[in-house]
Amino acid sequence: MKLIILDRDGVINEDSDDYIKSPDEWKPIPGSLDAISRLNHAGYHVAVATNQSGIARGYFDLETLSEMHNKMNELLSQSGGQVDAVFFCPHGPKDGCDCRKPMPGLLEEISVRFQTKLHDVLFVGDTISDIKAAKAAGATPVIVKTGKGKRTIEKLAENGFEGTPVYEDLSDVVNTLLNGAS
Amino acid sequence: MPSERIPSKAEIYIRSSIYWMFMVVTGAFVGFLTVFTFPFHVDGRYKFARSWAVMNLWALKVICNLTYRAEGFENIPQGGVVVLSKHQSTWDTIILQIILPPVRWVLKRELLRVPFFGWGLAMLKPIAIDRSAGRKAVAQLIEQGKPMLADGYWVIVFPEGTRTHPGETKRYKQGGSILAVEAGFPVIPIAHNAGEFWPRHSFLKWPGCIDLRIGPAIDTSGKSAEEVTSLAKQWIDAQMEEISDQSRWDR
Repeated sequence: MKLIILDRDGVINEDSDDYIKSPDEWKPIPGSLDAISRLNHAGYHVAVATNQSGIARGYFDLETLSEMHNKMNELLSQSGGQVDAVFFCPHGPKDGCDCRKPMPGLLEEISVRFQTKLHDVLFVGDTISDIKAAKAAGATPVIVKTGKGKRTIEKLAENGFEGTPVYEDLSDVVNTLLNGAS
Repeated sequence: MPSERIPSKAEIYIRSSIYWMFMVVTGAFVGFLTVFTFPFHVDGRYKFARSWAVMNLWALKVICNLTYRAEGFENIPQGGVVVLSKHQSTWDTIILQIILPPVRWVLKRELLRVPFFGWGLAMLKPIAIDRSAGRKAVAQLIEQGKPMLADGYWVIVFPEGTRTHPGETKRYKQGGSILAVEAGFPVIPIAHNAGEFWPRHSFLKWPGCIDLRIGPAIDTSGKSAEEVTSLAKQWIDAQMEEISDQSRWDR
C-alpha cells in the first residue's frame, strides 16, 4: 500500500506567526494541492497529521477546524485530489496526551487505520517535532523549507538530525518521489 | 551550535553551585554600589547596574555553558513600548536589560526590600506594585508608567504575573495592555524558553541555547486592552509551540 503522511501548517497551507484560526486564514502554499493530486493519481493514499492546540487554547473550535478541512478538500477536488484522512491533536502541551507531536500517537493511529507499517512511509514536515514524531513511529522524516522549515534546517545539526532530507516544498518532494529518485 | 556534550548531573551541580555564588556575590556587590549612584541621573545608574546583567550573562556562558540566540531586533521601534513577556526564569530579568533599550520593571514592591539587591533595584525607578491592592495596582501602574513611556523608556510587564513552568500558560492579566492603550504606545510581545534551562526554583542550570523572540509591535490605537492582550498571547503561544522542547521539561 502506497501511503504518504503530511503535516498541515507550513506544508500544505501557509503558516502564520499566529495560529490558523479560520477557513479564510487557510491559504494553500502554491503547488501543494497540485502535488497532493499527483500523489493520488500515482496511487498514493495521503494522510495528514497535525497539532491543533489552538482548540485547547480556545482560539477556534472543532467545527471551524472541519470547515478549514472542507475548504482544503474542496480546493483539492478541483484538481482531482483528496486527502484520505486528517488526524489532528487538539490538546495543549501540558495535557499529557500521546498524540501531540513530537509524540508518535497520530502516526500510530494512521498506521492502524491504514493497516500498514510505517517504515517505508514518508512523513513530510517542517519542524523538529515532526522529525521526532516520524522517528518515534518508525516512519521516514523529510523536511520542506516552507512554513517553519527554514528555521528548522538551522537546528537539524544540534538535534542530531543532520541526515534528514531537505526539499524546497511539497511539490519538490513529490517530484522526487514520483521520479523514483527517493 | 554544535551538538552539545551532555555533562553528568554531578558536573551540572558543581557548575551551578559556582554560578550561584557568582550571581549572589555580584548581585549583592553591584546592588550595594548602585545605592551610592543616587546623586546621578537614573540613566547613569541604570548603565552602572546593567553591568550585573552583562557579568551574569558572561558567567552563564563560561560556567554553565548556557547561551542564547535572540531574533526579531528589526521589530524594535523608536520610543516608548510596553513589553508583554513570557516569564519562566530569573534569566528573563538578565536578558531583557541586555537586548532592549533602557527598561523600567514592573515588580512587586516586596522585591525592593531584599538586602543590597533590592536596594539597588530601587535606584532604577521601577514601578513597584502593591499586589494586594487589586484594582488600585492597575491605577498605580498607569499613573507611574505613562510618563516613563512618554520619556521613551520600555516598561516591562510579565502578564502571567509570575514565573511559569515550561509548557504552562497562566491567565494573562490586563494591566500592561491597559497602560499601553491608555497611554497610546505600542505593545511588543516577547517569547522565550529559558525555563527549560533555568526553571523557576531550580538550582540547576542546564547547558544549551535559549531561544528568544521579539515580536512585531502591536498598534494599540482603536483596540481594547483585551484585544491587545489576546493578540500578544496568541503570538507568544504560537512561538512557544515552536521553540519549546518537551524533552527538557521534567529533567
